[in-house]
Amino acid sequence: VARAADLPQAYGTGPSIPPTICPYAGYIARAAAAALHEEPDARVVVAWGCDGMRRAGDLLSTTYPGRAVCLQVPRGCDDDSVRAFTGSLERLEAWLASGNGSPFGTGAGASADPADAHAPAPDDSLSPGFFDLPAPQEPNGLFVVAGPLSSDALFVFLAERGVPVSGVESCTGPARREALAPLTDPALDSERQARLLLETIFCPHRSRPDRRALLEQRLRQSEAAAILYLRQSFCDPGAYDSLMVAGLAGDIGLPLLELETGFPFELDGPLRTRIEAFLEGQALGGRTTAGDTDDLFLDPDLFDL
Amino acid sequence: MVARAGRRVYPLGLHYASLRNGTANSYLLYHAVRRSLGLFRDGTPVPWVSYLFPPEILASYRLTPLIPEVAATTLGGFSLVRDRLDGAVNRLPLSRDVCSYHRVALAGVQEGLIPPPTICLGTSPLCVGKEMFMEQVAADYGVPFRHIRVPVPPDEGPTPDDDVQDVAQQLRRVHEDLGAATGRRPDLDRAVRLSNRAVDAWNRLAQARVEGEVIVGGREAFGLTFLSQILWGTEAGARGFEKLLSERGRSDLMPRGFADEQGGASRGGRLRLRRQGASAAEAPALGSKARLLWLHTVPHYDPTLFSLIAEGGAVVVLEEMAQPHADLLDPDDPFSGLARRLVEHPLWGSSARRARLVIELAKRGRIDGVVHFNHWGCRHGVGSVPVLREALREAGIPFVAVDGDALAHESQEGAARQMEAFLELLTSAPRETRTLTSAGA
Repeated sequence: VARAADLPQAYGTGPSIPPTICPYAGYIARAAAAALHEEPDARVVVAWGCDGMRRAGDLLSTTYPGRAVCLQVPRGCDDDSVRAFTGSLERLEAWLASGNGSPFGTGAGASADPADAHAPAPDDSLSPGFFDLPAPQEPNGLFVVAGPLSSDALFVFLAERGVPVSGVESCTGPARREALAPLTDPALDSERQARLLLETIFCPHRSRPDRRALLEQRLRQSEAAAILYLRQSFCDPGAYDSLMVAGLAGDIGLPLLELETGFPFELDGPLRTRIEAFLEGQALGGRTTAGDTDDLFLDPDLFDL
Repeated sequence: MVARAGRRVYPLGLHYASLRNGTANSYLLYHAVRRSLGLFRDGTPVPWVSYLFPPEILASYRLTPLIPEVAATTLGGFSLVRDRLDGAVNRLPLSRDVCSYHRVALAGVQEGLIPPPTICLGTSPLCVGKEMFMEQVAADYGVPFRHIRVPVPPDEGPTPDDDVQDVAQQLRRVHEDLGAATGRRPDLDRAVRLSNRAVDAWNRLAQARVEGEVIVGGREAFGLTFLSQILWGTEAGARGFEKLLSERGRSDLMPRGFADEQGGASRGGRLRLRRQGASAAEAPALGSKARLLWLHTVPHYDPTLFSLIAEGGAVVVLEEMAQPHADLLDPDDPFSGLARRLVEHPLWGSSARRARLVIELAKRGRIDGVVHFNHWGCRHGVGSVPVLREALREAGIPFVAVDGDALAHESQEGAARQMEAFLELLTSAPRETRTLTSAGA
């Protein structure tokens, strides 16, 4: 994610997906294309749960045949879904070991024996793309539900205003990194990998009852006082997820602010104003609006034209 | 009271029209509307289904599916409710960048213009957005949501049998559960038999169209198959599609402008039939008209693009969406056939697979140009355009992708300009030199 955010111009002429598709998928495609372009041995797996990412993966696999593949991620984590996803992971593993063809097509990789595959070496490659919160999570604070976030800008902004954060639900948030940590255990077999991945998808594409139950549990456990929903533009799962979260917020009596954001995440003036107004209305945060106004007038960037 | 009276009078009018002109189109329209209006009756099960959910499974229990995309399109076509519907759409607390079929359907059910579901049945194809939408509706009305998880087919060759059987098993379970939920006795044999009659008729016509023996307008064919998805597996569906095999039965499916060129009326005009036994190369061409293949959905209400095509010396002779029901179902093992049809739908799978199928169809149908309608909010369709464009460029087939909203009533000027430029390219250059790809987005 971080790499993708740095590449908007350099690879602007490479493969690109149309502007009415999720911008995050577009950035991922560009970042992956950059990796494939620069590193001849690199291979890319695009795990997709939504149509935007699915088509980004298609574009890569067509542009870089044999080096980029798409991995369909089921919406549920029931036994049938886990079984199907386990099969996909095993085929993928065989492809990574054999090095050619396509794991899900008719290429050589499809028929390779998964038992011959080498388990991926545990490393810290899960770290890039995730961010840490600048302050510890606290009760009676803001619970942020978001799509992919390219930086911790929002949380720095909240910390500067003394607004406690009770939790973050985002595929790039710290909770997901923690949930995925067991994946680095080399003893984990494919089925348990599949189950873990499907149970820890912090993505609105997952089955609604599962997603609602998870969010309700996290909201109650964190003792959040309000919800901020940052909905990714051109994201179908996010659009319906925000409706679900609005219903959930109403059911458990939490105030909610929903805002549309793009990717990379830009905490621009209108967004800051909306968030500040919401925080003020909920009496969240230790600093007053007057203090912010003072800061505004003293901010030298304001005059840096 | 007025609505109830309208629901009685409207189908009577359609019935009269279908008897009067005897065409498949009006016959299927009458039966699709009559059955759909029956869904408003108290106590009637209303299964909301994904567009690709096998209708035979419902027909087995004499259930009429409510396909949200079809319902939204039909509803939006009624001027009496348009303002009310537009208002409801604008009040929806749902992102405006979502597919307009689903936004209109959601507004329609909330406004009481579409009957609410008693169960929602989804499939992975064609898109995730639709599954999210169906699950939302199911939650709103407190009814079950069942999802058929469908794997992606390989880019080349048939889908592995294990994948097909996985889907077949899910369909089998849903079929059984529907019986338990409705208390009705199944008759899948009958539904399969009737579905096969319709498929056989449609296949014969489709083959004749590809060969150039029969001309049926792409927009008209799309509309016919779109609506009659409700009727596959029913007696009305079988009869309706069989009517297409007679000249009279398909006489109102002429592409606009074509009949005029032949000296006939645009409705009820004559068909141009190649004499039996003649080769495709000898088939009478459409005069100077360029043959177009239409991809994805169509603008349902705004005729601008098709008027431009007619005026610009071209005709849409084939469409991608009306190709799916290719194989007959095995009466002894219908679920495998239903599953394979679902997995191997032309619009499911990768963009590369879609491009391959489009190029094959274009070559078989001697297509001069391909048009992709970039429906607003459709990620899977629009998202595959870059790969499609490149593949068609390599194949030397002119291509344009026009942006629009299938449910827009107003004229979409940007799309019109794109189409004009494309038609100019097609009709100004000799066929063998038309290799420039994409005049559009």
